Amino acid sequence: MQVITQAKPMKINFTDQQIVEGLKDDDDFKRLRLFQHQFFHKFKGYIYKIAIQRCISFHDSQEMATDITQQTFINAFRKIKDFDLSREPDNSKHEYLIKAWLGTIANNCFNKEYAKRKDHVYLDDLKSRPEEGEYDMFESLYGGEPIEVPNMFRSKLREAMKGLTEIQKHVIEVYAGEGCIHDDKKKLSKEAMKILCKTHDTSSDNIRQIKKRALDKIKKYCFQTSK
Amino acid sequence: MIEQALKTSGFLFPETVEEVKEFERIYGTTDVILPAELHEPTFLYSKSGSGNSSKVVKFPSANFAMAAREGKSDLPKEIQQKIIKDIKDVERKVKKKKK
Repeated sequence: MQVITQAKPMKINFTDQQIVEGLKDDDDFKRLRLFQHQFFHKFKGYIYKIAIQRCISFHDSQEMATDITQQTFINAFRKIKDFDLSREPDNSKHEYLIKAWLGTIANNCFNKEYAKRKDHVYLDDLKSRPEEGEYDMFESLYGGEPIEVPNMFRSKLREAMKGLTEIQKHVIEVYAGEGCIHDDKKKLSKEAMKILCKTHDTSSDNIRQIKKRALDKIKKYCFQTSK
Repeated sequence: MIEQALKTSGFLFPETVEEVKEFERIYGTTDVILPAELHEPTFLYSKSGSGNSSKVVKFPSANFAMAAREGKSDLPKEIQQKIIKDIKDVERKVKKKKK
């Protein structure tokens, strides 16, 4: 018996590094588009999944999360030429590095969307991370030694965050994003403070007060001992 | 610990390799089902990178049904509740319009 098999479209599996390198070569639009699709389909779920969690307190959470996801990829493709994955020889780390890099972009996108929704759009002021000096940027994707967080603490923190006002929550997230909660001596960058002041139409002194009150609330909730 | 927990519990996008690993350890790597606007990256070629808001009318019941998840990859309860609430809100609006 003769079996006739139908030809299936060829599916090409590129490595993460091949995709990133392919995205940098914009001479051939068709080829570039192929790599853009590959990259987008591989990482869109990851970004959207976190975006929807971040936007949960907004009435239009789905729309906001979609906008953040789309804008993250638009910005990533704009900046891809500065992202040098070949500096990490271990291929198994590439996916994590890309996700971490997309995370830095997505956090900026969140702040922009947040400001837009507060009707305070200052797009020129919304650069909260340096875009120059990508060498340092790449190094920072590795981070320091991880701290183990017990699940119980995570649940308590989630509850504590629910008890904060919208402003308190945003302020705490921005401070945490810049590593200014763990390290008391570290000050929030001027850019981030400017964004907070403009978004919430208040002074830097007030922002610091809001951060202190919010952090006290969190600590009280998370670290209180049951009698 | 507060900072680390915020960075790996979905309050912020993880920004380092270790944070990404920790986030995926807790929430798993299974994706949620995406809204129609994210099925294909057509926005790359139509929005010119201007970041316009999505204008397509959406039905969250179609967009938000969550994918089957492996044990530990569940989303937090409040997110699931919010999703259900969104679905009900839209369905109510649609019913009102029909009337």
